[in-house]
Amino acid sequence: MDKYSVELAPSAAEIYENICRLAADTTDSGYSRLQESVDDVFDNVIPFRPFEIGTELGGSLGGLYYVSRETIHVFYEKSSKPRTLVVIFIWDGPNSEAHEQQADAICTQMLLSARLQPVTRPRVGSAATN
Amino acid sequence: MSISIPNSYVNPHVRTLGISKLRAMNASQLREIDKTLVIQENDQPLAVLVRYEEYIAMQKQLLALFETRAVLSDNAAVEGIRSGRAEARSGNTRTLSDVRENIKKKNKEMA
Repeated sequence: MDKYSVELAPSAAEIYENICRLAADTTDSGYSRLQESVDDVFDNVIPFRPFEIGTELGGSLGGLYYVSRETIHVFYEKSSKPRTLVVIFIWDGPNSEAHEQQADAICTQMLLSARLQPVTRPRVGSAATN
Repeated sequence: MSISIPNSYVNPHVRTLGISKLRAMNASQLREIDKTLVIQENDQPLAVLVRYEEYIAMQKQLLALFETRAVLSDNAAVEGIRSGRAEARSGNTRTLSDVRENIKKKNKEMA
């Protein structure tokens, strides 16, 4: 499978450079882990199957895709160049594990109520109102 | 008076199935089912069976919703994304290898 090429918007490149600089300059292993997470996303995740189901954000952030590792969130979008994606922003935000636990709890509730369709498939028009 | 509507009528992607029929099914038959199954006993819904891939897709889509909500509630993140998108749209991007080369160069200069 052909890999996608990864490019960065200058502001995202600056954030990445800062992470790498902090990882090199300090003895704080937290920065090294941060850089390892970002490098893993850049090298092993987004070049392969970057636009999988469930990786696109919604609403005004539609067209923007993400991958998160612990507190690091990498946002990217399709480039106008073929098989290329552009990293738009790197965010040190909320821990993704908390979201996973929340999603698991909601999925369980939805399964118990059989309300799966709104999430997994497009709504079917008038069937419910007939 | 409440009217009971079978799930299969409301939602064409859902099929109701009696518990005895479920018991008689083998793994290959279950694999072939492309609908969500509502398992019933005496016409009362008892449990829901959904394909594993669908369950995972559902979780991922929920995670994407949480991510969207988290981003939108952080002004700095919204601003970062806005400016990153504007840069990308104007074709102002750098390749990953170029960025890494630049970091190596800077590290050498510092050493």
